[in-house]
Amino acid sequence: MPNETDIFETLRQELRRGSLILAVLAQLQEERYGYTLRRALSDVGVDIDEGALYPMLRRLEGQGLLTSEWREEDKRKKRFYRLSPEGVGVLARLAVEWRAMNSSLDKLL
Amino acid sequence: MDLLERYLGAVAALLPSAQRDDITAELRDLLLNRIEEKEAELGRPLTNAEQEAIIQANGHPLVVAGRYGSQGPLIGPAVYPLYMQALKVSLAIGALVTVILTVIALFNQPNQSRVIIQGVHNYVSLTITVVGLLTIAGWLVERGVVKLNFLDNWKPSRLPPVAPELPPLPGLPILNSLGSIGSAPAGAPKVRAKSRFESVFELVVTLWVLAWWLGFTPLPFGELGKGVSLIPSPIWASMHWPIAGLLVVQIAVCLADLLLAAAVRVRAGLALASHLMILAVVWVLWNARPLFHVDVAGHVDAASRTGLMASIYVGVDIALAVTAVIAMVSAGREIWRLARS
Repeated sequence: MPNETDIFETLRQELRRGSLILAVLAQLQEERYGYTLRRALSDVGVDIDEGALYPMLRRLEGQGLLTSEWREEDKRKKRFYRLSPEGVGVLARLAVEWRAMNSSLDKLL
Repeated sequence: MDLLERYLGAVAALLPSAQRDDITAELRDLLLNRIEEKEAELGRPLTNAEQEAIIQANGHPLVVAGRYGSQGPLIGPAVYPLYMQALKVSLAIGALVTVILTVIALFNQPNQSRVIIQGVHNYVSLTITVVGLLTIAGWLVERGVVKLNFLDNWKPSRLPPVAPELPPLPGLPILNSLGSIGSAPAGAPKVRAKSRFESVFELVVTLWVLAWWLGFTPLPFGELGKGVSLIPSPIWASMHWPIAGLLVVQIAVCLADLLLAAAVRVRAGLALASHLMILAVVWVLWNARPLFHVDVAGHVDAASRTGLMASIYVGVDIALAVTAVIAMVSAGREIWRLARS
């Protein structure tokens, strides 16, 4: 039987799951590679496990929302990601949805 | 860096070949960044133990490779209830058949402990097979390879009724009175539908009677006591296959109750056929009385013998009459249900 902490943790993760995708898409309006993306998210208070971040980037790329390119930086090859034109459109629509949801929930909470 | 290469090699071995190089290159970059960040923090190169700790923190190769695999469960929440229902029904029927076959085997084979062990073994094998096959079927449904139209094309009106209460048929008072027998009076709580346990119980009993009727379970018949037994009259031999057919129809009724709960008309039709067959059998038997003779081997006086025979004949007459009345009432109720459904 899960205790209150377990239940809270499960619900918190469910709550974060969708918002993390939005945060990643928003950060990739500017080109970044995985490591700098995680740092940039962390700097604005969005912590994400790298183990989850990299597969997420691949899924988003597979869905056509991101483009990627291998380039050499600091003598190492790195994969740089940024929003594709489709990704820009989806981010704009998701942002509208997020703000509407936020506004509605603010009235309830 | 040998540890890092070994780790990447272990992850790569678990990745699809098309993505292997791409993913491991990115993973290498990620881990090197972490190592460099730690080195910058400490102001010195990392020891092997420190490098190992960073690699270990990234997760077991199986877990890391798994994150890049196809997302989603084998059987998702939409298909899972259907999967579980199919599993329960299949295993219940399997258990039923196994028990019946085992009991029949117990009567026919001398080594009873071996028969029981074989029965358990058969059921375990059956369970593994059923779970495996249904999981594959569930996976195919989940992936959309197999489409189940009935999940989308269903109507609430086709679901089984909670109670047999239905509006009366105009101009048919006799049929309405038959249909209302056993129903709750107006305003009373609705009668519950037959439970799954009742249907399974009926199925087991009917299968057992059929097995006995066909001679698979050599239970003695007609032994009334020491030296006194009932001898069936020749009509029973003539009625052997009709009665076997009636039992088969009753088994179909039980199976339909269990598996086709929503098919109201099919269930009512089968039940009606069963009741009409009972009426026909009772009619034939009634006209062929006496159905048994009493065989007295010992020294019983004539008065006792006559009394015993009279009691048996009266008992048979009452049993046939009661069976006929119940079958008529039940048939009337099924006709009424068919007419209103």
